[in-house]
Amino acid sequence: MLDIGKNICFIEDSSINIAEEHAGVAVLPVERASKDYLWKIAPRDDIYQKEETGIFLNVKKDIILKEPLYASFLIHKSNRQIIHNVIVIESGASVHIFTGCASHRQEGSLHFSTTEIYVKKGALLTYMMFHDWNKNSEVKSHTFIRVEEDATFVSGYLSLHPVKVVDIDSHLQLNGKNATSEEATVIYARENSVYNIDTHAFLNAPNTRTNIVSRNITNGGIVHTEGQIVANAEKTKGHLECDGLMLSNRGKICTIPALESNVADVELSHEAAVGKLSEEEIEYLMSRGISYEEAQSLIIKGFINIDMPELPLSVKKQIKNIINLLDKNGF
Amino acid sequence: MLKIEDLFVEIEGTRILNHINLHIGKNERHVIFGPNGAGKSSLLMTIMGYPRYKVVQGRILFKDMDITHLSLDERAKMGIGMMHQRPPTIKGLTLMKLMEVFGKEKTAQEASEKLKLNSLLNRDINCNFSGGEIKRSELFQLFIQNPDLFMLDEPESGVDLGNVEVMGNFVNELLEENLKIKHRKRSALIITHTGFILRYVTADKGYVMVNGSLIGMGNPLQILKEIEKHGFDRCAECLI
Repeated sequence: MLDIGKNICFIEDSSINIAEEHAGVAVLPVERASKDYLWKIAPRDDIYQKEETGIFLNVKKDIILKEPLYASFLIHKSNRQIIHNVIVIESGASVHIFTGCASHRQEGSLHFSTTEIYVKKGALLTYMMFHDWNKNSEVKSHTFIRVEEDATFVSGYLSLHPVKVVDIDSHLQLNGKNATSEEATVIYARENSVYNIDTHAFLNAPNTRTNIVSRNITNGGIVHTEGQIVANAEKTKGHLECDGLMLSNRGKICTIPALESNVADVELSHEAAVGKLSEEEIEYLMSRGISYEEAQSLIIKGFINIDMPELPLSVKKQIKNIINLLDKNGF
Repeated sequence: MLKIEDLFVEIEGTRILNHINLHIGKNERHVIFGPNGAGKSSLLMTIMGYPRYKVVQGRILFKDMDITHLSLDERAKMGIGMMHQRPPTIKGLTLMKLMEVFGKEKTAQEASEKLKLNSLLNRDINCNFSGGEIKRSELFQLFIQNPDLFMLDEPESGVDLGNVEVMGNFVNELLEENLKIKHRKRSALIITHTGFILRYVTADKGYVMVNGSLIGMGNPLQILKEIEKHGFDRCAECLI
């Protein structure tokens, strides 16, 4: 079940005995994480953490993984999953993680997770999370990230299928100079789905940069996003971009961008827009001989196709496949 | 190829085109001159089938078929292609992706070199394109679309002189200038404010449009001379 370098699979709470270390990548039970990392950036009382289950993923110094690590979290039989993960990318390492979370159960299920991520000096981590729950799933996912000097953190969150409630809260600390981050969320909210997405980024060291992008589509669901950038050091840059697309009068999109600076020499900006599909764009494509339906689907696919140059080709292809599959089933 | 009979058009109840009659045969190139706001672009948008432009009287025939009530994509599929003046930006959709939709990636690669477009292929359509880049991208899309009737809306506006030549040559290629006249099949309707494009592209017939009406018909270069001498208003008078 466990193939280091390719797949990490986690079913229910702790049905797999994880203890692997191979080629500079260690995947261990979370309690094996050092006290330096365990509950260091996440509050101890975060969500419902009584049990200590989950993984400790440690990529050693200067290890460069070209192919992504796949981590899957499945709810198979039981009705809940409570996870605490700790990810430590040591200095100079470069890692791509693709996380998928899904539920087989049609009845209600709960998935709570707390993730602590440490990206050390000069390291690169790209972290894609793809959710494929069902209409009765409730999800709470809290992520705490600390990025050191010259390190880069890139994250993407994609949720395109029905779900009952998703609460995502991420706190990113850029603590070393020249640290950069890019965070993107793409949500397609269907009828009876509710999303609450909070993203916070703190620019705590000089020359740190962050870019937060969210693209939300509703076809009947509710999407509430809050983005916040706080600048605590000079020569920092932050940009927030929130775009919402209403496919009909059903559903709701609410977006709240917030910028806060405690020093003078910073560049913080935000742009936010909510609206319907542009008839002008559809007609333009139709004038090239493309049908109304195809034009609409091309524009929606474009809207949710966020360009993240740091992602490896294989991950980009996966994302493309996921979006095409959604398109096949009809937006 | 295109026949317009006694056409009246409105936008949201306001009349914008009056009593338009136009007949463009196979391998004919017609030019419409006119001041800003005269209705030149509206005529092209109406022929293309943009729904905002409501035909209240008259009809449009293309290849002997009444297309007055056909949709944009149906007209495009029949062979009408348009170079837009101010096309919208489409975020997330690259020119190359659009070429994939048409299944024309290879042809696209070749054409993009001619039009110095390589750097634009992987950018979102019209996103932060300069004036000249928009024109080149529009011509490029027309090349791929390969229509029988080319409608060019101010092809030279916003393009520097050096590039007008590149573009003019490409327009000529699109209109099969390299073939003997009897072998040419494509027709064109070109709108121009300045007339620069006529230095590179030859045209058969010219008109002036004023206040939503087409006035007179004559040799395009002569009309251009009149306009340069007397301005649009006087020229319209002399053509009547």
